[in-house]
Amino acid sequence: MPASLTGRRRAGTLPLGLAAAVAVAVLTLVPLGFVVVASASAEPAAALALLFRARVGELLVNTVGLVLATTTACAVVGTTAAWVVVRTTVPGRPVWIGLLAAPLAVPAFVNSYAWVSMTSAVEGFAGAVLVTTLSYFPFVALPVAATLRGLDPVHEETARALGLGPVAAVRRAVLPALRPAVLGGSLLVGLHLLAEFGALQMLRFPTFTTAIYDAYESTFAGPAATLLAAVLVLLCLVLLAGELRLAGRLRLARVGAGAARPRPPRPAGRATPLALLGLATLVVLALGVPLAALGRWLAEGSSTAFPVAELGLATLTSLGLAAAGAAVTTVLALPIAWVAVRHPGRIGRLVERSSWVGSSLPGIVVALALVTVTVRALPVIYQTTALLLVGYAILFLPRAMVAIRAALAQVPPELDDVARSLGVRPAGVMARVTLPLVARGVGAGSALVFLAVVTELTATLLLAPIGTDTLATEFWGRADAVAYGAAAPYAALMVLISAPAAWLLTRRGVPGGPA
Amino acid sequence: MSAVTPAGLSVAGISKSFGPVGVLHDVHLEVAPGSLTAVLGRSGCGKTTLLRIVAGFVAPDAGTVALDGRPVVDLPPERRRVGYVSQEGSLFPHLTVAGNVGFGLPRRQRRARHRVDELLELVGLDAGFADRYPHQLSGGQQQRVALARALAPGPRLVLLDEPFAALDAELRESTRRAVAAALDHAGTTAVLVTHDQGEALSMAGQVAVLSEGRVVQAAPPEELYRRPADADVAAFVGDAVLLPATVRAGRAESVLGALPVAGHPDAGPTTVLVRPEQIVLEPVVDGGAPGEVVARVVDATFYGHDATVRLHVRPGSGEHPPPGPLVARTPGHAAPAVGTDVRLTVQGSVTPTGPRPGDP
Repeated sequence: MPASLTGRRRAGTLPLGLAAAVAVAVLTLVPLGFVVVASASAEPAAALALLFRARVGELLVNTVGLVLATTTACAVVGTTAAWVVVRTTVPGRPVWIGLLAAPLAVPAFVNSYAWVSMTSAVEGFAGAVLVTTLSYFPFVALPVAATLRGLDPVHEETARALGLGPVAAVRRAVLPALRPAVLGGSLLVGLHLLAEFGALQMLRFPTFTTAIYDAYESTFAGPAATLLAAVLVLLCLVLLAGELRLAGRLRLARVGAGAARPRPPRPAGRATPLALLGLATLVVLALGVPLAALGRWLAEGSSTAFPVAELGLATLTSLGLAAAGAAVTTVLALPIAWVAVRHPGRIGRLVERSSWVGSSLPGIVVALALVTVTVRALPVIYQTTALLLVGYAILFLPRAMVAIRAALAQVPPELDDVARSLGVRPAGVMARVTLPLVARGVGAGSALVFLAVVTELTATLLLAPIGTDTLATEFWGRADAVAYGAAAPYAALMVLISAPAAWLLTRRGVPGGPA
Repeated sequence: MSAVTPAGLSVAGISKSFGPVGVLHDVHLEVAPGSLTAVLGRSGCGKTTLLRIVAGFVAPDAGTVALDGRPVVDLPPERRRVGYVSQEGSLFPHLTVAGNVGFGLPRRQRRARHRVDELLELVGLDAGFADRYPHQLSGGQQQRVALARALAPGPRLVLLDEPFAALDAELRESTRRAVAAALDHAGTTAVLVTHDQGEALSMAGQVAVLSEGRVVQAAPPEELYRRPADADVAAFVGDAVLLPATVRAGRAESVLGALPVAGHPDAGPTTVLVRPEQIVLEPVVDGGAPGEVVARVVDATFYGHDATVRLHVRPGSGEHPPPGPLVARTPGHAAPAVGTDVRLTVQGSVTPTGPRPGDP
């Protein structure tokens, strides 16, 4: 059905749904708006003094250096690993694909805890690059593997038929097709690095995010924290601009992927041992080390004390917050997904796009903004669970929205028309047709949000009411105090709860990037 | 079903544009209560938009839609009592056949199964289908369920948007018959949108030809086929041989001789419509007698039940020799061989389609 026929609904359903979607979009823009307003209203001389000092220069070098080094490493490692697993006859390929996604079950701050608890050699730049690469390379490997699997071999065959050798054919016909997946994944890694707090704090590698946290700890939401947040947001916007430019091409790259003929894998031959060794090393470093460290500290920690009551309480708190966060986020995502699918005009696009902005900002910035805005304008909800849930919703809205949008796109708008011609009013159509049909998408989306909330650390540290302790914050309190053994049970529980997320991701692609 | 009195539909002066693209221009259409009207047009002519305006899914820029004389343009679709069957049937995939058919019924009647069974029977489906899901049905069965669902709340008018287009040929015919019978039995007024001439001509009591957003002719099928308003309509509703001719004394002088003309045309130059099946081919004896129209078979396409034959009329016979070959249709068993000569006669009368257009 052409857009002209779908974008034409009679008055009735549109204003309410659109108003809700716009309201949600405005909510997600609060953090960005706060940063802009706060930096604009800062006292210029003081602002300049705060920004142009050696400390900020050092943070800039650290942050940019880390982003460049780790995204490059992730692109190379992720693409190579995906290539070997999808395109060659290396033994055990289905198992390897699962193992490439498995590191996502280990939160980056748990991974760095594992490394730093084994050796202090990982502190500093090199260690930060190593640990973050091991945590984030699946963001590149998974989309590249998916693209490689969906790639129609006809392009490579045509290139060969046109006289190119095997290497040249790959370079000129296959690699360009992989570019959107590699770049998209790398941008996602970049955004995560800008937001990463726990892992880098633990490795004693200061970036803007850790510096904002320290400034917040010492001077609350003072100008120092705000101005650093402004610089961080600028860095995010640079990456986001790249992502927006990529979005159009990403879509092109997926056209017709569904009907592609499977391509016979290339015999690995004599390179098999080398490929196996490489994959094994990667998995041991990314998955084996953190699991071994956890096992060791669990064994050592449990010999001293195993605080069942505290563990149980933190688990319940985490699960409860995750369930509530998932519910709130999903409810807020519904109108956005609805508008994105059913009213794809300029307003629809704008609303959908803006819902990504909040989630692309680091958790520390979102939390800082919510703290400052509520303390000044709405002190009633400062230090409440409600505010924490709002923070989760802003951070994880796209995960729910993408899943619901995909389900909604499968529902032909004719069904609404038919239902109304049968005498059912718009609200009834929503309850009896639309919601039952998108139920599965709603379920998948809320599961993704649920699992993201369980391992959320930064925003929870700032926004959780006093006395609300989650697995992540309890872990953080102990690990930060070098009580490695006491931290281990909390980390193990988080990994256990996150494992289904990793499994979901191998099937649904990576969340967080505009899909 | 007889509790509902079917409504007459009257569409007047409907215009609609999507952005800069004008889709409908001042469309008028009258549909008698209880009748079936087909809206026939090529894809993109605006026929689906017209249907969606009548259903209430799209608001027109101008014009009125009235049911039994009462305007409904300002009513939302759920208050018009107009049933709608889409091209793919659009069954609700999460509901069984019974759930679909009962969707528009009040809650109490939804529970009581007999109404659903009654409607299934009406569209020629066994009550055993009630518990199946749409994906377990064939395309034809889905369309029958869609019709049963549309008829369930007792609509005053049912709209069918190319309901058979997605079906393969064999299924299309049987589904058509079942739908026609169900509509007839229900006695509802119906408007069927289609691009298939055979479908429109065989099912409808009135066919409205829509071209470039305008109704160019609305007439009973036979009249439309025999006496199309212009050459375009003539060629659209069936294969047409358009011959230059001169009308003299009620007969059209053409390359096929002096042919009887339908109606009372003005004398003078014109173009006449001859349907290929009106041209009868007979073997020529001894090179043909004087006054006979003789043609050579240049090409024949065999379809089984019939054959299409392209003919070059021998120079010298009749007036206004056409520039290209003529097309005739013969029964398949009587198709002449390529290269042979045949004698042409025309059965029935021909229809003038206005002054000579650019190309016949």
